[in-house]
Amino acid sequence: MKIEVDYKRCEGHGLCEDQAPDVFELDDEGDLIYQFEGQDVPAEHQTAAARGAAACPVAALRVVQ
Amino acid sequence: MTPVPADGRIVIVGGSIAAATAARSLRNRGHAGQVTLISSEDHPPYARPPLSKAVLTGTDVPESAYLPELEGVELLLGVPAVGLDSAARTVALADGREVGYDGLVIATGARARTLPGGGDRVYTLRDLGDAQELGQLMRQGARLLVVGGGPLGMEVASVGRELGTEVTLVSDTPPMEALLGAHLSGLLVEAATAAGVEIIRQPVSELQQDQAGRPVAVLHDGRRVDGDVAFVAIGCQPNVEWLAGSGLAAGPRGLEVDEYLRVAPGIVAAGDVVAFPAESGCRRTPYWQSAFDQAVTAVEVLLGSGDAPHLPRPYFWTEQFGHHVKLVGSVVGDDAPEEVPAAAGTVLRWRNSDGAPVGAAGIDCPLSITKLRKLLASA
Ligand SMILES: Cc1cc2nc3c(=O)[nH]c(=O)nc-3n(C[C@H](O)[C@H](O)[C@H](O)COP(=O)(O)OP(=O)(O)OC[C@H]3O[C@@H](n4cnc5c(N)ncnc54)[C@H](O)[C@@H]3O)c2cc1C
Ligand code: SF4
Repeated sequence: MKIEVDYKRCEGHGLCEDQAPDVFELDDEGDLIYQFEGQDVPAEHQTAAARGAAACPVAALRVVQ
Repeated sequence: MTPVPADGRIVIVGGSIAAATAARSLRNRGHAGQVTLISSEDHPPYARPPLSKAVLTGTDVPESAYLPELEGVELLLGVPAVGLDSAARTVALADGREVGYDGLVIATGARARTLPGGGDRVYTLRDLGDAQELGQLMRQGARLLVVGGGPLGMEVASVGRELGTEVTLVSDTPPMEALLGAHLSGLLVEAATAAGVEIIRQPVSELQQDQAGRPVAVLHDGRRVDGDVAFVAIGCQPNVEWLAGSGLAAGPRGLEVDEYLRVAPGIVAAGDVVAFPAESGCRRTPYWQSAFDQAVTAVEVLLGSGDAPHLPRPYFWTEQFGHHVKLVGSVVGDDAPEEVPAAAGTVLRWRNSDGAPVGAAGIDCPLSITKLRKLLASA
């Protein structure tokens, strides 16, 4: 599983971070840091990552298989 | 409540964030039984917040608001549920089908309230079709008469000005005050006025139509304000009509649940449809975060995998007139927030009469919801 982040869409709400703090983090500038950029999400983080992606109110996170 | 067996069939009625989150949570928890989502909308589940923002301006195409695809979930789209028999455990659909369930999640949300009269150029905004239609009218330069000073009224007014249309907004209370308090209301009203919105502080007695077919708001003092189109944003009402005769505690104030989001044996509910117990009786909290959190808890309760009640964690945000405001918790009555030092933008905090922090807001400030919440835990 991979997650594609549309950084232009992200508004920094942090609902993804709220659901999956080990996967998504917002820095002090409000910029999203996605831990697994460009790589497969490790198995143990997949459920949380999917939940975080689904919480985004602006659909900035896409789950791709 | 007896938990739904591991291979039981779960039916979710509703097609937006609460329903989609419930479906996803069921799969995440490894529920083995069939999961069916029944929605009256033709689109798969999508996010509504962009409808008063980027989808309305036309910057984003409608499909950009779609929520991540649901896997292993049967989608019955474009077919409303019209009845519930909670004894026989069946849901009746508009096309005559009956769907049986072992567990049911009610997530039918809410729809826009409107005002009678005013002719056929009176609009509300709830779904993708509304956003496309209203956006197109505004891009064509239609003069906009907005009724209501809540988040939807103000966001649409903001988009209207951005697109260069004339906007008059009528509101009986100070815009945004109910949600954000007097201080932030003042800030946003100032920004709206600077952006060229004419704000009239009065109740609307009724909507009429003039001879040219334009909508006209008749104000409390008798004044008449017209527009090429009227946009009415006076709140939403719960979609509970399909539950008539089901024996569930559903009415104009919402579907009553207990603190575990239980409605009846085998039935839970989540989202805008829900009236959740609060100090002052059951209340709806029609916001994104609430719908999401409730759906997660409701599913745990249905499966018997969680024993914690739903704990409301209010989060609200709005974008209007060049400002981006986020609020965790709530603002309190006297509305004298303290300013918390921040690297960028403004951070405000409200305390209750005991001095405990109850609300924190970031204005044009990049702090995430997690960091804002920390301001409520500390100090
Ligand atoms: C334009 C707009 C902008 C918003 N912006 C924000 C924002 O910035 N921040 C925020 O926190 N919140 C915002 N909200 C509120 C937020 O979108 C809602 O709280 C959220 O959508 C609630 O989700 P829900 O799934 O409970 O209900 P809804 O979104 O109301 O969805 C209910 C679903 O159930 C379906 N349905 C209804 N009746 C039936 C039936 N009988 N049978 C089958 N299906 C049925 C409907 O078609 C719909 O798909 C906004 C809302 C709107 C309309
Ligand atoms: S939830 Fe969406 S908008 Fe918010 S920080 Fe995460 S990706 Fe960005």
